Amino acid sequence: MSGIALEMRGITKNFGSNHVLKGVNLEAHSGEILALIGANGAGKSTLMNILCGLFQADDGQILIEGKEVRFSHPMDAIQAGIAFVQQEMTLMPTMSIMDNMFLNTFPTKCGFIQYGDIKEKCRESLKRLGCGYSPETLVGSLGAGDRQLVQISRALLCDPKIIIFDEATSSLTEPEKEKLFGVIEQLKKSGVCIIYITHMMDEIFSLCQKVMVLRDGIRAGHGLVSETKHDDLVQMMIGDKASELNTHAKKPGNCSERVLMKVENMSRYGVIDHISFELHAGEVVGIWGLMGAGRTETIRCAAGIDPIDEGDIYIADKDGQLKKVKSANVIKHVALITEDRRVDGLALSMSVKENMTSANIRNLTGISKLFIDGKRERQVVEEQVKKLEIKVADIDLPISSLSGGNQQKVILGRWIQKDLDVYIFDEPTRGLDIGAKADVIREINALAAAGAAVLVINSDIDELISVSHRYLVMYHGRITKELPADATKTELMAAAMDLQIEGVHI
Amino acid sequence: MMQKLQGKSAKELLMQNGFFIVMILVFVFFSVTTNNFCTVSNVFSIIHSAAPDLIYAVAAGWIIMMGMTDLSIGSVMYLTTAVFTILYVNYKVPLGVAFAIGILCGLMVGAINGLIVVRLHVNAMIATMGTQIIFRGVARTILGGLPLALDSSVTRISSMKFGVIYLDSIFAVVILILIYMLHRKTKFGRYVTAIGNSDVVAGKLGIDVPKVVFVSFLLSALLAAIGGLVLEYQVAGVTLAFGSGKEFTAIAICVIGGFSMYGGKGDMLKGVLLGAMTLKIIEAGLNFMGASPYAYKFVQGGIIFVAMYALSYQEILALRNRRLQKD
Repeated sequence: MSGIALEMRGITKNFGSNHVLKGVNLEAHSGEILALIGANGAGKSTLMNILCGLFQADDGQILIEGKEVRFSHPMDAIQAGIAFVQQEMTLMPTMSIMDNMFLNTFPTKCGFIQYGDIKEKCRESLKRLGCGYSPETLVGSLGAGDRQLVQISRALLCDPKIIIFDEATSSLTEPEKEKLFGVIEQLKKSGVCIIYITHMMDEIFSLCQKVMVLRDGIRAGHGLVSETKHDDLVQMMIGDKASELNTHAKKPGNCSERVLMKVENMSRYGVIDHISFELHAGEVVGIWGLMGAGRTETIRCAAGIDPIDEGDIYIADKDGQLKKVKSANVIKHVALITEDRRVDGLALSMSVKENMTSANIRNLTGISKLFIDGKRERQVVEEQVKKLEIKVADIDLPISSLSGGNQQKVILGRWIQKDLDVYIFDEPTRGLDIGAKADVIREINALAAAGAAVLVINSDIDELISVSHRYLVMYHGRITKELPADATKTELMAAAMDLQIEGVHI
Repeated sequence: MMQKLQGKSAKELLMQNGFFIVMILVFVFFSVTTNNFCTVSNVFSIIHSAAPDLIYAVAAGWIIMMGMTDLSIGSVMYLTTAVFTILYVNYKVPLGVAFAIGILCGLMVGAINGLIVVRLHVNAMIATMGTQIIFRGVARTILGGLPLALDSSVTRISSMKFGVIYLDSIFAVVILILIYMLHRKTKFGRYVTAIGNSDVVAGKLGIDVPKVVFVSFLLSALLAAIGGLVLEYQVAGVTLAFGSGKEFTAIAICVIGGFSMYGGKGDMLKGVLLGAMTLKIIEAGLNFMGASPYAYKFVQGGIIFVAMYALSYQEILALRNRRLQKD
C-alpha cells in the first residue's frame, strides 16, 4: 500500500438546526478501496458533497497528499484530482456519448470543437471499460449500466487521484456489475484511491479493503475489512444495543383476518418486481428497506399513481368481498399521503378549508349538484379540525401559513372524511418536530384501531417500529422478507441488506 | 417483452419520419390537383418566399433548444425594420448605417430579454411576452402609426436571381448552415443543448448557464432582426402589423421540424428547412387551388396539433423502451 491520499479532519456541517456532520475524520490511501457505509441520513452524501466542492464544510480541514485544500466550486475539486461518480445520472440524454464525456472539457481550435480528437479518445476509453458503442450514440438510447459506464469514463478523463462511487451498482444488472467491479479493480491497481459508498454487504467484502461506518454524523467505526464481521458492521450502523429495548411494549394490535387490500405479482419493469402482499383490517404494515430499494415506487404503484406493467390489485367492497380494481381506479379507494406534501400533497396557495375538502368535494355539493354547499363544507372541515386538533385560527387562511405538522393533519383530515378502509403513508413524519411526529403517529394508530388497514414507509427505524404490526422488507425492488411485530432493529437492518446474520434467527 | 422492443410498427416509423413524408405527399397532392404547381420556377419561388421564415424560425429554434420560448421575435422584426426604414427613407441616413442601427435596436431587445430571464429569474415566455408588447408599441410610436414604403430601387436586390435561385434564398440557407455549425461544432452550441436537457445538471458540470442563456437571447434577436429585414425587402416596406404573430409561425416551424418544446432536441438545418417548407408548400398550394385565404390558418393549426402529437408519442415510446431495456 502506498501513502495517504486523502485526509478529512473534523468535518462539521449544519443545515439550520440540523447537525448532519459532527466532526468526522476520514483517511483514504492510494491503491485502496474504502467502503463508506451508514443508514439513510447518516451523512454519507453530505460528506462526499463537501469533498467534491458542492457544499462547504462549516468546520474542518481537507488534506490531499498532505496539503490542505479548499474547494468553493465543483471545478476546484476536479482540478485537485477528485472525481465523483454520482448515483443520480448527470448525463444529457439527447446528446451523444462523446458530447457527454467532454461537455466540460471540450478541446477547441479556432472556436470549433476538435471532434476528430475526442472521438478517438472517447472510443479508446469506452473500449477500456469494455463498452463497444460508437461515440456518436445518443446517451438516451443506452441502458442504465452503459450510462453508468459513460459517467465513469467522464470521471476518468482528468486522471483523478481520488474517485468516489456513490451507490454505483444500484441500477445495474449482474453482468453490468461484474464489468464495473473489473474496472474498479483495475483503477485500484493503477494506484487510484477509491471511496465506495454502498448498501450492499457482499460488495464490501468482495471488493473493499477498508471500511468506515457513519452514524448520525459521526464516525461509528472503521478498520480493515478482513478484520471485520458482518454483524459488527450492522451493530455500528444502528448503534448501541440498549436502544433496542425501547421497542414494542405498545401495540394493542387488534388485527383481524379480514383482508381489505390485496396486491398480487405487481411489477413495473425496471422498478419493482413481483410484489405481493395483503393488508388486514386493523393492522399497520411497515415497509422497510434502504434508499433505492423501491419502497416509494411500490406504494405509488399500489395506490394506482404510477402505472403497472403486470399484476392485479384487489380491494374489499362494503360487504368485505375482494374485488379486482383497475390500476388507474385504485386511488378512488385508498388514501395516499405522499412523501413530499408541499409538492404533491397540498395546493399551497389555497385555504385550509379548500385543501381539506379537495378529495371529497363531489359529496359536498348542494341539491343543484353544481355549486358547493358552503355551510356543509365549513361544518365538515370544522369537525375535522376539532377531531385532529389542528391549530388554525381560521379555516379560510392559506394552508402555507400552517406548520408542517398541521399541514400533514389537514391532508389526513382530507382522506378521513372519505371514510376509506385503506391508508397509505409515505414518510408521514418527515420534516416535523417531535410533538407533531407523535401526533401523526397517534393518528396512524387510531386509524388502525378504528379498523382501517394502514401501509407505512418510514426511514426512521425507531418510528417505524413504534407503529408497525408487521414488516415487509424490500431489497432491490422486491419484497425479500416479511417480519413479525417483535422483529429487532438488527433483524430489520440485516434483512434490508439481504443478509443472514449468525446468531440472529430470523 | 423482447418482442415489444423489436419490430417497429408502421405507426412508429411514420411518427419518427412523419413530416418528411407529409411534406412530399402534400407536394405530390398539389402537383396533381393544380396546374403549374410542380414547375422549377414555382418550386424556387416557394423557397424564395420561405427565406425570411427560415431566418426568424431558427431564432426561435435556438431558444427552444434551451427549453425556453421567445415570443418577442415578431416585435424585434418590426422594431428593426421600423428604425431602419425611417432612418433611411425619412432621414436619408446611409444604407449601411441605417442597417446597423436597426439591427442594434433589435439586439437591445435581445439583451433586455436575456437580462430579465437571467437576472430577475422571470420565465422566458413571460419576459419575452412583455418585451413583445412594449417594443411593438415603441416601434409604432417611431413610425407615428403609419406604414412606410421602401423604394423599389433598394428592394430590387431581393428579387435578384443567381441562375434560377433567388439571392435571398441562398442568403437564408447560408445563415442556417452557419447556425447549424455553431450549434453542432462549438462549445456554445453544445452548452445550449445541455441546458435544454437540464439546466441544473449543466450548472453542476461547471457550465456558466446564465451567460449562455443571455448570449442565446442576443443571438435570437440578431436572427429575428435579419429575418425582419429580409422580409421587408420582399414586401417593400413596413406596415402596422409587420412581423405580428411571426413568433408563433416560428414556433410552428420548429415543432413541425421536430424540435422538442422541452428543449435539447432539434436540427437547426434540416428541421427548420422541413418545417418552413411544409408550411410554405401548403400555403402556396392552397393559393394555387384558389382556396379561401382563411383556409390556410385552419390547415396550419391542424398541422401543429399533429406535429405535437407525433412528438409526444415519440417521448412516450422512448420512455417505454428505456424501461424495457433496463429490465
